[in-house]
Amino acid sequence: MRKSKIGNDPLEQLFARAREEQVPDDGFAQRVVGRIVLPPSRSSYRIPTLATAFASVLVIVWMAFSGFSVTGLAERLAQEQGGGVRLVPQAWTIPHTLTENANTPEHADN
Amino acid sequence: MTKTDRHNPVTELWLVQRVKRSGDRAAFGELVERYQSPVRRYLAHLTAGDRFRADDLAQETFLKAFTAIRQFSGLGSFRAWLFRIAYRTFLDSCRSARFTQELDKVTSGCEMSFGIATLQSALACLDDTERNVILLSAVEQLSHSQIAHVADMPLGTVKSVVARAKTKLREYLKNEEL
Repeated sequence: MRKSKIGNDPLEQLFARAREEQVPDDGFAQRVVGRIVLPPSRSSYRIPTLATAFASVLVIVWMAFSGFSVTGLAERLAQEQGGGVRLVPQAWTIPHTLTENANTPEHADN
Repeated sequence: MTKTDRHNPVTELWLVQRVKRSGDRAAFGELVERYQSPVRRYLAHLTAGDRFRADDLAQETFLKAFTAIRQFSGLGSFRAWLFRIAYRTFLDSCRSARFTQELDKVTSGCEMSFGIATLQSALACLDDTERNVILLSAVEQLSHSQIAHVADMPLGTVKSVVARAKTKLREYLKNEEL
């Protein structure tokens, strides 16, 4: 039934001919496979992740056994602020005299 | 791989699983071998017989399929999923290159049989959607629901587009005979 329908209908004949058309591979599949860029595998992420985890554990263990405390460090910093701990190089600090002069009304007029 | 294996859906699913799990290139190569002919033929018809452009698009289609294969659920047809990517790739290339098809001008450098050339000139009387739907239905033999998935259309629209396109093509062929 279907065969006779295709045989009589010129449109169905055209479609049947188009369906029969086979495109030869001619190395197409090889070219495609050769162009595949593999995304980085999961194992390539594992080494840095494990190294970070190991380093974090080491820091936590050191903090636990050395008696280190964050509050103690903050207090120590506050105590030594007068000159004990220098946060920036000396050359970068602005002399107090300069900042005071800049705030005087004479300098402000200029 | 034997000829029966090529058309075995179980083998196809097994190949897809191999690519999904470990990015197996050899398995993907077998899938490309299996589907290169229908995908290149479909794209050649969409590009008005421009085999070079069709091959570029087909290559892009398969590379996209490899990257996105994890998104393929395995429940639907792999063939329909591949055609969906091919159609998207074709649409993207049209948008980016501002490509305007001149279907009456068959591109030089491609060898087409008389039947295929007639089909190409007949397809020129259809709009883009009709051409795509009729190719998927009559040449690539996808079901209406698969075409609805490929072309992002409601099922009812697919059915009416297929009927309309066939009527137009019959009229064209009738006029050609006269």
